[in-house]
Amino acid sequence: MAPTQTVPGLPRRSILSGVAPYQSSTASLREWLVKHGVLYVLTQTPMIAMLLGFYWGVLTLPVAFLVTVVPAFVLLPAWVALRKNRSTDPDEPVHHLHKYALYALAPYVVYGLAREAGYYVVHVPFWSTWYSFGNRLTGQPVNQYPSLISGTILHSLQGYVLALGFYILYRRHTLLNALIYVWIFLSTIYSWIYPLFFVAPYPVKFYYFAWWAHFWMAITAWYVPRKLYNPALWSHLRTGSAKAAATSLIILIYALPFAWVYRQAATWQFPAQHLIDQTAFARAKMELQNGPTLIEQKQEARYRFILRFGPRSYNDYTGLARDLDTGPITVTGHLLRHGTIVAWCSAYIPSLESPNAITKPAAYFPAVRNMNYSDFPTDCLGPRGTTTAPQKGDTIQLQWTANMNLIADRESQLGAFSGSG
Amino acid sequence: MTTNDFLTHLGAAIVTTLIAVYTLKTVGFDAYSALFIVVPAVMVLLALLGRKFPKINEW
Repeated sequence: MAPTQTVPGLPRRSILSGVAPYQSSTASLREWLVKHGVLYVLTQTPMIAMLLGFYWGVLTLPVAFLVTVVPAFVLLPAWVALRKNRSTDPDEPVHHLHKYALYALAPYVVYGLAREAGYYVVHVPFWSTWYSFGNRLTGQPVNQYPSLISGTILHSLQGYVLALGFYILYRRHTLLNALIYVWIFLSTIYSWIYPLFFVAPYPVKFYYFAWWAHFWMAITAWYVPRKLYNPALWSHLRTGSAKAAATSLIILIYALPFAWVYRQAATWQFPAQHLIDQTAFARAKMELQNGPTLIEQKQEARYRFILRFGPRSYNDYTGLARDLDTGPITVTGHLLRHGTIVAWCSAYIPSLESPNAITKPAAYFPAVRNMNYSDFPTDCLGPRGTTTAPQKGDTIQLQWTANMNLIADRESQLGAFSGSG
Repeated sequence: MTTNDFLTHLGAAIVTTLIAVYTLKTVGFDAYSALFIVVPAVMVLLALLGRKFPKINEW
């Protein structure tokens, strides 16, 4: 006798006898869309928002969430209610969504734990992207707790819906299906999206890391419906206190990946960044590159000199090459001839051109190299007259000072430079 | 393997094939883009194995 599957409110139906009558491919596609496709898309809206608003940059991230995730909050319950009323197929995912929603909690947690175990082997600080997620959604600065917290929520949401998508798409949640979809397919998407659409270093170990974590995510996605949520497992826990202890343990395990990251940020990342930032501040110099040169003599004499700032490049805690940013730069100075001031110099530059806001890897890395040293001009004005006219054997001496806000990965510092020439 | 699951794997393989085409066009052929050529083939092969030998897909 064929095994049967029941769903409350639906007639019993044999799984093995469920041979569908012939239908056209259009009808099959329509049926698939109604049973799996629409539900899949509605549950994947956080991923769609990330693609549009973060990786591809078609929209800003808040707008992407507004036009995808927010409508899904209305459409998803409406669609579930509609299909639950109309569907006569007990295998249709909509009848099992409550179970799938529970199953999908675990794979992401194991994915996180696998990455943490992998961290000790390949040392990829994988949570660095969480700051960027949070920054693009909330505008909070990267490498600070507010962007880390919001980024953690976004990343958890992505992991959750990706696992949920597996349960919705497939009728049978077998090991083979989990390996093909969660391990191979999702690892491939990950390996494609990041290097082409997100600025970060991508050594070989990055790919190992991605495939390693998705492998364990796949194993968990397969294992969870069989064991973890199996009533037989819970029936072993006879007393209420045993069940409470088990539930507490599960909550603790769920919190572990996040707690580990926050601890790493406080105990390793922030001190490492402090060292990197201070070294970058100490290396950066401002030097006279050219001039002063008389460029104009009308009612006043105008001189110009060029200052060069750099080296700006440093590697952040992930190994990514970045350039020091600068806040407002003020340059003041004067030109002297025989000890007498003949011109006064000043310049104000709101900020130097920076590669750090570039989000496309193809444009980012050349820009970092090109902006390692930045030149900027300062003009000096003085009265026109015999005292300013260059005479034989004359030398003009420049004295200048520059103040600026130096901005590295996490810290900023006032920089004061001076020189003469 | 059910028809639904088999066709879903094929759909995922088509997505990775499109990724392979995009990657070949943007970064050219190298070890990185080769990954996206190999992956859909492996996915289809595994799905075919699961279809041909149902025991593999019983776990």
